[in-house]
Amino acid sequence: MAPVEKEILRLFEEGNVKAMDLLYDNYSDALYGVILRMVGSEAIASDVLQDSFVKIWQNSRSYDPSKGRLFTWLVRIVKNKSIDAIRKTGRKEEIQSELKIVHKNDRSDSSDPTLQHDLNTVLSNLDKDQRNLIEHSYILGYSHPEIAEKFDIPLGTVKTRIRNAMKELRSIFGNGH
Amino acid sequence: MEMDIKAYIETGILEQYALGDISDQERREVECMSKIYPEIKSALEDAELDLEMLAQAGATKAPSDLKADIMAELAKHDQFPVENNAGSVPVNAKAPVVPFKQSSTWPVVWAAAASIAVLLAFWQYIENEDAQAELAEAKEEQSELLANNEYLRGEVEYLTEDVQETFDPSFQKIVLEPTQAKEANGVSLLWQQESGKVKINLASLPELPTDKQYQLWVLKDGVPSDMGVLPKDFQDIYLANSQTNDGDAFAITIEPLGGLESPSLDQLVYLGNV
Repeated sequence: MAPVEKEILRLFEEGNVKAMDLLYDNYSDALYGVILRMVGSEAIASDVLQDSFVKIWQNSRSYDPSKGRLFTWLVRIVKNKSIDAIRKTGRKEEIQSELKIVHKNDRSDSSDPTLQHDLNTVLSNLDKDQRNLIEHSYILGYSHPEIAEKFDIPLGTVKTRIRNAMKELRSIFGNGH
Repeated sequence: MEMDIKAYIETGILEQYALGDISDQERREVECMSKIYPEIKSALEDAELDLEMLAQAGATKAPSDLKADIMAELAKHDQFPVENNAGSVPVNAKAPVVPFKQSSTWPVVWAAAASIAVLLAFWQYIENEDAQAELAEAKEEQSELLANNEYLRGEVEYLTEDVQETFDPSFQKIVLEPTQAKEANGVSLLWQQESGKVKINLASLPELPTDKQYQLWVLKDGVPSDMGVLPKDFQDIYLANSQTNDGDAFAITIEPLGGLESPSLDQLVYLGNV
Protein backbone atom coordinates (compact mmCIF):
# COMPACT_ATOMS: atom_id res chain seq x y z
CA MET A 1 0.00 0.00 0.00
CA ALA A 2 1.34 3.43 -0.92
CA PRO A 3 2.13 5.83 1.96
CA VAL A 4 -0.64 8.20 0.92
CA GLU A 5 -3.16 5.36 1.00
CA LYS A 6 -2.02 4.38 4.48
CA GLU A 7 -2.40 7.98 5.58
CA ILE A 8 -5.88 8.25 4.08
CA LEU A 9 -6.96 5.05 5.83
CA ARG A 10 -5.52 6.24 9.10
CA LEU A 11 -7.50 9.47 8.80
CA PHE A 12 -10.66 7.52 7.88
CA GLU A 13 -10.33 5.57 11.06
CA GLU A 14 -9.79 8.71 13.07
CA GLY A 15 -12.87 10.25 11.51
CA ASN A 16 -10.78 13.10 10.20
CA VAL A 17 -12.25 14.67 7.07
CA LYS A 18 -8.77 15.74 6.02
CA ALA A 19 -8.66 12.25 4.51
CA MET A 20 -10.94 13.53 1.78
CA ASP A 21 -8.57 16.39 1.06
CA LEU A 22 -5.76 13.91 0.43
CA LEU A 23 -8.07 11.67 -1.52
CA TYR A 24 -9.10 14.54 -3.77
CA ASP A 25 -5.54 15.59 -4.46
CA ASN A 26 -4.45 12.08 -5.35
CA TYR A 27 -7.43 10.46 -7.00
CA SER A 28 -9.89 13.05 -8.26
CA ASP A 29 -8.31 13.31 -11.72
CA ALA A 30 -8.50 9.59 -12.34
CA LEU A 31 -12.03 9.37 -10.94
CA TYR A 32 -13.23 12.42 -12.83
CA GLY A 33 -11.92 10.84 -16.02
CA VAL A 34 -13.90 7.67 -15.36
CA ILE A 35 -17.07 9.65 -14.65
CA LEU A 36 -16.70 11.98 -17.60
CA ARG A 37 -16.33 9.12 -20.05
CA MET A 38 -19.47 7.55 -18.70
CA VAL A 39 -21.76 10.57 -18.38
CA GLY A 40 -20.42 12.66 -21.23
CA SER A 41 -21.08 16.10 -19.80
CA GLU A 42 -18.77 18.09 -17.57
CA ALA A 43 -21.65 19.59 -15.61
CA ILE A 44 -23.05 16.18 -14.79
CA ALA A 45 -19.58 14.83 -14.10
CA SER A 46 -18.96 17.54 -11.51
CA ASP A 47 -22.20 16.69 -9.73
CA VAL A 48 -21.41 13.00 -9.82
CA LEU A 49 -17.91 13.59 -8.44
CA GLN A 50 -19.38 15.59 -5.59
CA ASP A 51 -22.08 13.01 -4.81
CA SER A 52 -19.43 10.29 -4.97
CA PHE A 53 -17.20 12.07 -2.53
CA VAL A 54 -20.06 12.45 -0.07
CA LYS A 55 -20.80 8.74 -0.36
CA ILE A 56 -17.12 7.87 -0.01
CA TRP A 57 -16.86 9.92 3.16
CA GLN A 58 -20.05 8.55 4.62
CA ASN A 59 -18.96 4.97 4.01
CA SER A 60 -15.28 5.48 4.76
CA ARG A 61 -15.39 3.42 7.94
CA SER A 62 -16.78 0.44 6.02
CA TYR A 63 -13.91 0.20 3.58
CA ASP A 64 -11.97 -2.97 4.32
CA PRO A 65 -8.43 -3.02 2.88
CA SER A 66 -8.23 -6.79 3.15
CA LYS A 67 -10.92 -7.06 0.48
CA GLY A 68 -9.16 -5.05 -2.19
CA ARG A 69 -7.39 -1.86 -3.11
CA LEU A 70 -8.71 1.53 -2.15
CA PHE A 71 -8.95 2.58 -5.78
CA THR A 72 -11.16 -0.38 -6.67
CA TRP A 73 -13.55 0.65 -3.91
CA LEU A 74 -13.52 4.30 -5.05
CA VAL A 75 -14.18 3.37 -8.67
CA ARG A 76 -17.08 1.16 -7.70
CA ILE A 77 -18.77 4.05 -5.89
CA VAL A 78 -18.04 6.44 -8.71
CA LYS A 79 -19.35 4.09 -11.39
CA ASN A 80 -22.56 3.41 -9.49
CA LYS A 81 -23.18 7.13 -9.12
CA SER A 82 -22.44 7.63 -12.80
CA ILE A 83 -24.89 4.92 -13.78
CA ASP A 84 -27.54 6.55 -11.56
CA ALA A 85 -26.93 9.86 -13.31
CA ILE A 86 -27.06 8.28 -16.75
CA ARG A 87 -30.33 6.58 -15.91
CA LYS A 88 -31.83 9.91 -14.92
CA THR A 89 -30.90 11.61 -18.14
CA GLY A 90 -31.50 8.52 -20.30
CA ARG A 91 -28.29 9.05 -22.17
CA LYS A 92 -26.84 5.58 -21.89
CA GLU A 93 -27.08 4.52 -25.53
CA GLU A 94 -25.83 7.87 -26.74
CA ILE A 95 -22.81 7.80 -24.47
CA GLN A 96 -21.80 4.29 -25.23
CA SER A 97 -21.67 4.96 -28.93
CA GLU A 98 -19.58 8.04 -28.41
CA LEU A 99 -16.16 6.50 -28.60
CA LYS A 100 -14.93 9.93 -29.49
CA ILE A 101 -15.11 10.74 -25.80
CA VAL A 102 -12.58 8.03 -25.13
CA HIS A 103 -10.15 9.70 -27.43
CA LYS A 104 -10.76 13.16 -26.11
CA ASN A 105 -8.46 13.51 -23.21
CA ASP A 106 -7.67 16.96 -21.96
CA ARG A 107 -4.14 16.78 -20.65
CA SER A 108 -3.30 20.42 -21.19
CA ASP A 109 -3.64 21.50 -17.59
CA SER A 110 -2.41 18.36 -15.92
CA SER A 111 0.58 19.37 -13.88
CA ASP A 112 1.55 15.86 -12.81
CA PRO A 113 4.68 14.78 -14.69
CA THR A 114 4.44 11.18 -13.52
CA LEU A 115 1.30 10.59 -15.61
CA GLN A 116 3.32 9.90 -18.70
CA HIS A 117 1.01 7.95 -20.91
CA ASP A 118 -2.31 9.23 -22.01
CA LEU A 119 -5.04 6.74 -22.72
CA ASN A 120 -4.53 6.68 -26.46
CA THR A 121 -0.87 5.88 -26.13
CA VAL A 122 -1.60 3.08 -23.73
CA LEU A 123 -4.28 1.55 -25.90
CA SER A 124 -2.46 2.01 -29.19
CA ASN A 125 -0.18 -0.84 -28.22
CA LEU A 126 -2.97 -3.34 -28.57
CA ASP A 127 -4.28 -4.85 -31.74
CA LYS A 128 -7.64 -3.63 -33.00
CA ASP A 129 -9.76 -6.36 -31.43
CA GLN A 130 -8.07 -6.16 -28.07
CA ARG A 131 -8.29 -2.39 -28.03
CA ASN A 132 -11.98 -2.58 -28.84
CA LEU A 133 -12.63 -4.96 -25.97
CA ILE A 134 -10.68 -2.90 -23.46
CA GLU A 135 -12.42 0.29 -24.54
CA HIS A 136 -15.81 -1.29 -24.12
CA SER A 137 -15.13 -2.89 -20.77
CA TYR A 138 -12.76 -0.67 -18.85
CA ILE A 139 -13.63 2.63 -20.47
CA LEU A 140 -17.27 2.60 -21.49
CA GLY A 141 -18.36 0.27 -18.73
CA TYR A 142 -19.96 -2.47 -20.79
CA SER A 143 -20.37 -5.71 -18.87
CA HIS A 144 -18.89 -8.86 -20.37
CA PRO A 145 -22.29 -10.28 -21.34
CA GLU A 146 -23.13 -6.97 -23.03
CA ILE A 147 -19.90 -7.09 -25.03
CA ALA A 148 -20.52 -10.73 -25.98
CA GLU A 149 -23.92 -9.79 -27.29
CA LYS A 150 -22.82 -6.67 -29.15
CA PHE A 151 -19.98 -8.36 -31.00
CA ASP A 152 -21.57 -11.78 -31.19
CA ILE A 153 -18.66 -13.53 -29.46
CA PRO A 154 -18.96 -16.28 -26.83
CA LEU A 155 -18.80 -14.94 -23.28
CA GLY A 156 -15.79 -17.10 -22.42
CA THR A 157 -13.91 -15.66 -25.39
CA VAL A 158 -14.63 -12.11 -24.22
CA LYS A 159 -13.18 -12.86 -20.82
CA THR A 160 -10.11 -14.60 -22.19
CA ARG A 161 -9.33 -11.88 -24.70
CA ILE A 162 -9.69 -9.11 -22.16
CA ARG A 163 -7.47 -10.97 -19.78
CA ASN A 164 -4.83 -11.47 -22.47
CA ALA A 165 -5.02 -7.83 -23.50
CA MET A 166 -4.43 -6.72 -19.92
CA LYS A 167 -1.49 -9.12 -19.58
CA GLU A 168 0.01 -7.57 -22.68
CA LEU A 169 -0.45 -4.02 -21.46
CA ARG A 170 1.08 -4.96 -18.16
CA SER A 171 4.12 -6.45 -19.80
CA ILE A 172 4.57 -3.40 -22.00
CA PHE A 173 4.30 -0.88 -19.25
CA GLY A 174 5.75 -2.83 -16.37
CA ASN A 175 3.17 -1.15 -14.19
CA GLY A 176 5.43 -1.43 -11.20
CA HIS A 177 4.13 -4.92 -10.33
CA MET B 1 -11.51 -28.53 -0.68
CA GLU B 2 -10.16 -29.20 -4.11
CA MET B 3 -9.55 -26.06 -6.02
CA ASP B 4 -8.07 -25.40 -9.39
CA ILE B 5 -6.65 -21.99 -8.68
CA LYS B 6 -5.33 -21.42 -12.15
CA ALA B 7 -8.68 -22.24 -13.71
CA TYR B 8 -10.44 -19.92 -11.31
CA ILE B 9 -8.13 -17.05 -12.23
CA GLU B 10 -8.50 -17.80 -15.94
CA THR B 11 -12.26 -17.28 -15.76
CA GLY B 12 -11.56 -13.55 -15.68
CA ILE B 13 -13.64 -13.04 -12.58
CA LEU B 14 -10.86 -11.09 -10.90
CA GLU B 15 -10.89 -8.54 -13.70
CA GLN B 16 -14.65 -8.32 -13.32
CA TYR B 17 -14.19 -7.72 -9.61
CA ALA B 18 -11.78 -4.87 -10.24
CA LEU B 19 -14.25 -3.32 -12.65
CA GLY B 20 -17.18 -3.75 -10.31
CA ASP B 21 -18.88 -5.76 -13.03
CA ILE B 22 -19.89 -8.59 -10.71
CA SER B 23 -22.80 -9.91 -8.67
CA ASP B 24 -22.78 -9.65 -4.87
CA GLN B 25 -22.54 -13.42 -4.55
CA GLU B 26 -19.52 -13.50 -6.88
CA ARG B 27 -17.94 -10.56 -5.09
CA ARG B 28 -18.12 -12.40 -1.78
CA GLU B 29 -16.68 -15.47 -3.43
CA VAL B 30 -13.71 -13.55 -4.83
CA GLU B 31 -13.03 -11.91 -1.47
CA CYS B 32 -13.19 -15.26 0.25
CA MET B 33 -10.91 -16.92 -2.29
CA SER B 34 -8.47 -14.07 -2.07
CA LYS B 35 -8.20 -14.50 1.67
CA ILE B 36 -7.58 -18.23 1.47
CA TYR B 37 -5.29 -18.46 -1.57
CA PRO B 38 -2.29 -16.13 -1.86
CA GLU B 39 -2.06 -16.79 -5.60
CA ILE B 40 -5.55 -15.45 -6.07
CA LYS B 41 -4.87 -12.49 -3.84
CA SER B 42 -1.84 -11.67 -5.93
CA ALA B 43 -3.69 -12.06 -9.22
CA LEU B 44 -6.47 -9.88 -7.85
CA GLU B 45 -4.00 -7.17 -6.96
CA ASP B 46 -2.67 -7.32 -10.52
CA ALA B 47 -6.16 -6.86 -11.90
CA GLU B 48 -6.81 -3.95 -9.56
CA LEU B 49 -3.54 -2.28 -10.45
CA ASP B 50 -4.41 -2.63 -14.13
CA LEU B 51 -7.64 -0.80 -13.53
CA GLU B 52 -5.84 1.93 -11.69
CA MET B 53 -3.25 2.22 -14.44
CA LEU B 54 -5.89 2.69 -17.11
CA ALA B 55 -7.86 5.11 -15.02
CA GLN B 56 -4.78 7.19 -14.25
CA ALA B 57 -3.86 7.17 -17.93
CA GLY B 58 -7.26 8.64 -18.67
CA ALA B 59 -7.16 11.14 -15.82
CA THR B 60 -8.83 14.47 -16.50
CA LYS B 61 -8.55 17.56 -14.36
CA ALA B 62 -11.85 18.48 -12.73
CA PRO B 63 -12.95 22.13 -12.76
CA SER B 64 -10.68 24.04 -10.39
CA ASP B 65 -13.38 25.39 -8.07
CA LEU B 66 -14.90 21.95 -7.56
CA LYS B 67 -12.62 20.93 -4.72
CA ALA B 68 -13.69 23.78 -2.48
CA ASP B 69 -17.37 23.04 -3.19
CA ILE B 70 -16.89 19.38 -2.42
CA MET B 71 -15.00 19.95 0.82
CA ALA B 72 -17.69 22.39 1.94
CA GLU B 73 -20.39 19.84 1.21
CA LEU B 74 -18.49 17.13 3.08
CA ALA B 75 -18.45 19.23 6.23
CA LYS B 76 -22.23 18.74 6.39
CA HIS B 77 -22.03 14.94 6.45
CA ASP B 78 -20.90 12.42 9.06
CA GLN B 79 -19.27 9.07 8.57
CA PHE B 80 -21.67 6.17 9.01
CA PRO B 81 -20.74 3.86 11.90
CA VAL B 82 -18.76 0.72 11.12
CA GLU B 83 -20.80 -2.14 9.70
CA ASN B 84 -20.60 -5.13 11.93
CA ASN B 85 -21.48 -8.64 10.82
CA ALA B 86 -21.03 -10.24 14.23
CA GLY B 87 -23.21 -7.61 15.84
CA SER B 88 -25.97 -9.11 17.93
CA VAL B 89 -25.36 -11.05 21.14
CA PRO B 90 -26.87 -14.57 20.91
CA VAL B 91 -29.24 -16.00 23.47
CA ASN B 92 -26.94 -18.45 25.21
CA ALA B 93 -23.37 -17.47 24.53
CA LYS B 94 -21.68 -14.11 24.42
CA ALA B 95 -19.91 -13.93 21.10
CA PRO B 96 -17.00 -11.60 20.44
CA VAL B 97 -18.10 -8.56 18.45
CA VAL B 98 -15.39 -7.72 15.96
CA PRO B 99 -15.70 -4.86 13.46
CA PHE B 100 -13.91 -4.99 10.13
CA LYS B 101 -10.41 -3.85 10.73
CA GLN B 102 -7.41 -3.42 8.50
CA SER B 103 -5.53 -6.42 9.81
CA SER B 104 -8.45 -8.88 9.84
CA THR B 105 -6.96 -12.27 9.51
CA TRP B 106 -8.07 -15.66 8.46
CA PRO B 107 -8.49 -18.46 9.56
CA VAL B 108 -11.38 -18.90 11.97
CA VAL B 109 -10.19 -20.76 15.05
CA TRP B 110 -12.24 -23.73 16.38
CA ALA B 111 -12.12 -25.03 19.93
CA ALA B 112 -12.81 -28.74 20.49
CA ALA B 113 -14.75 -30.00 23.46
CA ALA B 114 -12.97 -32.79 25.32
CA SER B 115 -15.96 -34.85 26.44
CA ILE B 116 -17.65 -35.08 23.05
CA ALA B 117 -15.55 -35.21 19.93
CA VAL B 118 -17.60 -32.44 18.38
CA LEU B 119 -16.32 -29.00 17.49
CA LEU B 120 -18.54 -26.55 19.34
CA ALA B 121 -17.18 -23.06 19.75
CA PHE B 122 -17.38 -20.79 16.69
CA TRP B 123 -14.69 -18.09 16.59
CA GLN B 124 -14.33 -15.21 14.23
CA TYR B 125 -11.55 -12.72 13.37
CA ILE B 126 -9.87 -12.42 16.73
CA GLU B 127 -8.29 -8.98 16.84
CA ASN B 128 -7.78 -7.25 20.14
CA GLU B 129 -7.61 -7.98 23.84
CA ASP B 130 -11.25 -7.04 24.47
CA ALA B 131 -12.35 -9.68 22.01
CA GLN B 132 -10.10 -12.24 23.65
CA ALA B 133 -11.56 -11.55 27.09
CA GLU B 134 -15.03 -12.04 25.70
CA LEU B 135 -13.83 -15.22 24.06
CA ALA B 136 -12.79 -16.62 27.44
CA GLU B 137 -16.28 -15.90 28.73
CA ALA B 138 -17.78 -17.61 25.72
CA LYS B 139 -15.70 -20.71 26.44
CA GLU B 140 -17.25 -21.03 29.89
CA GLU B 141 -20.73 -20.75 28.55
CA GLN B 142 -19.94 -23.26 25.82
CA SER B 143 -19.23 -25.97 28.39
CA GLU B 144 -22.72 -25.39 29.77
CA LEU B 145 -24.08 -25.95 26.30
CA LEU B 146 -22.03 -29.12 26.04
CA ALA B 147 -23.73 -30.64 29.04
CA ASN B 148 -27.08 -29.94 27.46
CA ASN B 149 -25.95 -31.42 24.20
CA GLU B 150 -24.99 -34.71 25.84
CA TYR B 151 -28.58 -35.11 26.89
CA LEU B 152 -29.95 -34.13 23.53
CA ARG B 153 -27.61 -36.45 21.69
CA GLY B 154 -29.36 -39.47 23.10
CA GLU B 155 -32.68 -38.11 21.93
CA VAL B 156 -31.36 -37.26 18.49
CA GLU B 157 -29.95 -40.74 17.96
CA TYR B 158 -33.30 -42.19 18.82
CA LEU B 159 -35.01 -39.92 16.34
CA THR B 160 -32.65 -40.46 13.46
CA GLU B 161 -33.01 -44.23 13.66
CA ASP B 162 -36.51 -43.60 12.40
CA VAL B 163 -35.32 -41.82 9.31
CA GLN B 164 -36.26 -43.80 6.25
CA GLU B 165 -33.47 -45.53 4.44
CA THR B 166 -33.85 -43.82 1.13
CA PHE B 167 -30.21 -42.97 1.32
CA ASP B 168 -27.55 -44.59 -0.76
CA PRO B 169 -25.34 -46.75 1.48
CA SER B 170 -22.17 -45.16 0.13
CA PHE B 171 -23.12 -41.96 1.91
CA GLN B 172 -21.69 -41.21 5.35
CA LYS B 173 -24.33 -40.08 7.78
CA ILE B 174 -23.48 -37.10 9.91
CA VAL B 175 -25.83 -35.70 12.50
CA LEU B 176 -25.63 -31.93 12.89
CA GLU B 177 -26.49 -31.23 16.49
CA PRO B 178 -28.32 -28.08 17.56
CA THR B 179 -26.04 -25.63 19.34
CA GLN B 180 -28.50 -23.02 20.56
CA ALA B 181 -32.13 -24.14 20.83
CA LYS B 182 -32.06 -27.01 23.34
CA GLU B 183 -35.41 -28.43 22.30
CA ALA B 184 -34.49 -28.74 18.62
CA ASN B 185 -33.92 -32.00 16.78
CA GLY B 186 -30.68 -32.81 15.07
CA VAL B 187 -30.33 -32.44 11.30
CA SER B 188 -29.27 -35.44 9.24
CA LEU B 189 -26.69 -34.92 6.58
CA LEU B 190 -25.34 -37.47 4.14
CA TRP B 191 -21.98 -37.06 2.51
CA GLN B 192 -20.62 -39.14 -0.32
CA GLN B 193 -16.98 -38.23 -0.05
CA GLU B 194 -15.83 -39.60 -3.39
CA SER B 195 -18.31 -37.66 -5.47
CA GLY B 196 -18.45 -34.79 -3.03
CA LYS B 197 -22.26 -34.89 -2.92
CA VAL B 198 -24.04 -33.64 0.16
CA LYS B 199 -27.67 -34.45 0.95
CA ILE B 200 -29.40 -32.86 3.87
CA ASN B 201 -32.80 -33.54 5.40
CA LEU B 202 -34.48 -30.18 5.86
CA ALA B 203 -37.60 -31.59 7.51
CA SER B 204 -36.54 -30.79 11.04
CA LEU B 205 -35.32 -27.24 10.41
CA PRO B 206 -37.54 -24.68 12.10
CA GLU B 207 -39.08 -22.06 9.87
CA LEU B 208 -37.27 -18.74 9.64
CA PRO B 209 -38.59 -15.21 9.14
CA THR B 210 -38.88 -14.10 5.51
CA ASP B 211 -35.61 -12.15 5.52
CA LYS B 212 -33.47 -15.00 6.89
CA GLN B 213 -32.13 -18.19 5.41
CA TYR B 214 -30.11 -21.19 6.57
CA GLN B 215 -26.62 -21.52 5.13
CA LEU B 216 -24.52 -24.68 5.05
CA TRP B 217 -20.76 -24.73 5.62
CA VAL B 218 -18.10 -27.41 5.41
CA LEU B 219 -15.07 -27.05 7.66
CA LYS B 220 -11.53 -28.24 7.07
CA ASP B 221 -8.80 -27.57 9.57
CA GLY B 222 -10.74 -24.73 11.06
CA VAL B 223 -11.55 -22.99 7.81
CA PRO B 224 -15.23 -22.79 6.82
CA SER B 225 -16.25 -22.94 3.17
CA ASP B 226 -19.61 -21.92 1.82
CA MET B 227 -21.76 -24.87 0.73
CA GLY B 228 -24.65 -22.65 -0.25
CA VAL B 229 -27.92 -21.48 1.25
CA LEU B 230 -30.67 -23.97 1.98
CA PRO B 231 -34.01 -23.47 0.21
CA LYS B 232 -36.84 -22.02 2.24
CA ASP B 233 -40.21 -23.80 2.40
CA PHE B 234 -38.68 -27.15 1.51
CA GLN B 235 -39.36 -29.93 3.98
CA ASP B 236 -37.63 -32.74 2.14
CA ILE B 237 -34.20 -34.17 1.46
CA TYR B 238 -32.16 -31.57 -0.37
CA LEU B 239 -29.14 -32.18 -2.60
CA ALA B 240 -26.70 -29.32 -2.07
CA ASN B 241 -25.64 -27.25 -5.08
CA SER B 242 -22.01 -27.32 -4.00
CA GLN B 243 -19.85 -30.39 -3.53
CA THR B 244 -16.91 -31.10 -1.30
CA ASN B 245 -14.48 -34.01 -1.20
CA ASP B 246 -12.68 -32.94 1.93
CA GLY B 247 -13.89 -31.77 5.30
CA ASP B 248 -13.94 -32.63 8.97
CA ALA B 249 -17.20 -31.00 10.01
CA PHE B 250 -20.40 -29.44 8.69
CA ALA B 251 -22.25 -26.48 10.17
CA ILE B 252 -25.43 -24.50 9.59
CA THR B 253 -25.85 -20.83 10.40
CA ILE B 254 -28.74 -18.43 10.03
CA GLU B 255 -27.92 -15.64 7.61
CA PRO B 256 -29.75 -12.89 5.71
CA LEU B 257 -31.46 -14.02 2.51
CA GLY B 258 -28.86 -15.05 -0.01
CA GLY B 259 -26.26 -15.86 2.59
CA LEU B 260 -22.90 -14.30 3.43
CA GLU B 261 -19.30 -14.92 2.42
CA SER B 262 -18.31 -15.95 5.92
CA PRO B 263 -20.37 -17.41 8.72
CA SER B 264 -21.96 -15.28 11.44
CA LEU B 265 -20.49 -16.41 14.75
CA ASP B 266 -23.56 -15.90 16.83
CA GLN B 267 -25.91 -17.45 14.30
CA LEU B 268 -24.48 -20.98 14.44
CA VAL B 269 -27.40 -23.34 14.96
CA TYR B 270 -26.17 -26.80 13.97
CA LEU B 271 -22.81 -28.48 13.97
CA GLY B 272 -21.56 -32.02 13.35
CA ASN B 273 -18.22 -33.77 13.10
CA VAL B 274 -17.44 -36.11 10.23
